[in-house]
Amino acid sequence: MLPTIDVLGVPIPTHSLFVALGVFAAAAVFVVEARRRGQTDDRIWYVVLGALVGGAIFMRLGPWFQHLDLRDNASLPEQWLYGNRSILGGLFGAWLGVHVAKRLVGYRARTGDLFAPAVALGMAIGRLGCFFTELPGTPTGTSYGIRLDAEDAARLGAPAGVPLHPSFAYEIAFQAAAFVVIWFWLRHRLVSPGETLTFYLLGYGAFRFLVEFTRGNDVAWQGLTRPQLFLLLTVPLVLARVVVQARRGVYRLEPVEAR
Amino acid sequence: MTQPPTGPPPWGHYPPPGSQPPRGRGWEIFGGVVVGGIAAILVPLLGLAIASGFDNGFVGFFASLVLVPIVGIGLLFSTGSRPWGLGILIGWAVALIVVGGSCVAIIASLNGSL
Repeated sequence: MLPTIDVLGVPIPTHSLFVALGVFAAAAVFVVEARRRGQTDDRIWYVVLGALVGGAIFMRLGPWFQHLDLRDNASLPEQWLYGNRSILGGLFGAWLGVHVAKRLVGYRARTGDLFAPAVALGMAIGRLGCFFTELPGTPTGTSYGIRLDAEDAARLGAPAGVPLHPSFAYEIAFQAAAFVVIWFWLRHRLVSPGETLTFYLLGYGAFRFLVEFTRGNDVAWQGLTRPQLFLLLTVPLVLARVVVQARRGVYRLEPVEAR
Repeated sequence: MTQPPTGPPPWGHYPPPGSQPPRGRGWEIFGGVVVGGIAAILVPLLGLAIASGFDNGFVGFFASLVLVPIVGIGLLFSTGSRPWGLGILIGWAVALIVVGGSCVAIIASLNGSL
């Protein structure tokens, strides 16, 4: 575990450092893709603001609803200050924030093609912060499992010296692969505007559901974790959208000339 | 003879370039992002330093947390300062995502001392 990294003699929190690098990389990808597609209207920045504010709020408040009896949940200020942060909550909030912002500023063009590669690359880098600082995963019998020393094991509430699934490494590999597929192939071939994000979210949702079995999060119901329960509700909705769109003839793969 | 279908294609289309309003204030937005990101970190730290000298300083510290977004929103009301306000709000939101955990650690460690 690597809670801080020395940069020029200054200890920088590892998690924040990689999240910052991920945000910068995502911003660069977003700008490049927006220019390539000709979506350089200044209103796009209000859409970005909507995504960031929605993501920032829901990544904190998303994990608030833990118990059916609302009195058992933390208060909202407590959750904001001390609660866990959730990638899935952040993605949902960003999606919501984008739609609210677009409605407010009257921006009608689809933006999913800009966000999809940016989110994939940003998460591939940002998850390195989780990899270096958080509980790696559940015990595994494989030789590549991560072994924690006694101090880290006590801090993270995990067994010491036992190989654990490197669940964040799995996710980093998925996000990096998703970025490569989107950046070098899909964005040049998918004709339908905005649908790149739909496919990315469908793929990530399915992958995340599976990787949760190695993550080590608390089991909430029927052997499933809270992220899995959330995905059990949302992934079918995204899948239904893909099916409906496919039946309408929306999806076509052909060389796309960028504007 | 079969006529070609009319109307928009089912997969949609991008808006024509001519429908977009003029651009060119991107550097002001970028400047606002830098200012907003830095201010989102420094202003609460400054507020913390000042608030620690008062009995009810915790309220003052929380006021410093919302100062940056309030300034950003205020700048949105004027056309001239709007890109700066937008940039400041973006920088503040990015800081919320990036250093949120660090702020929580600071608050948690100093909660009892304020």
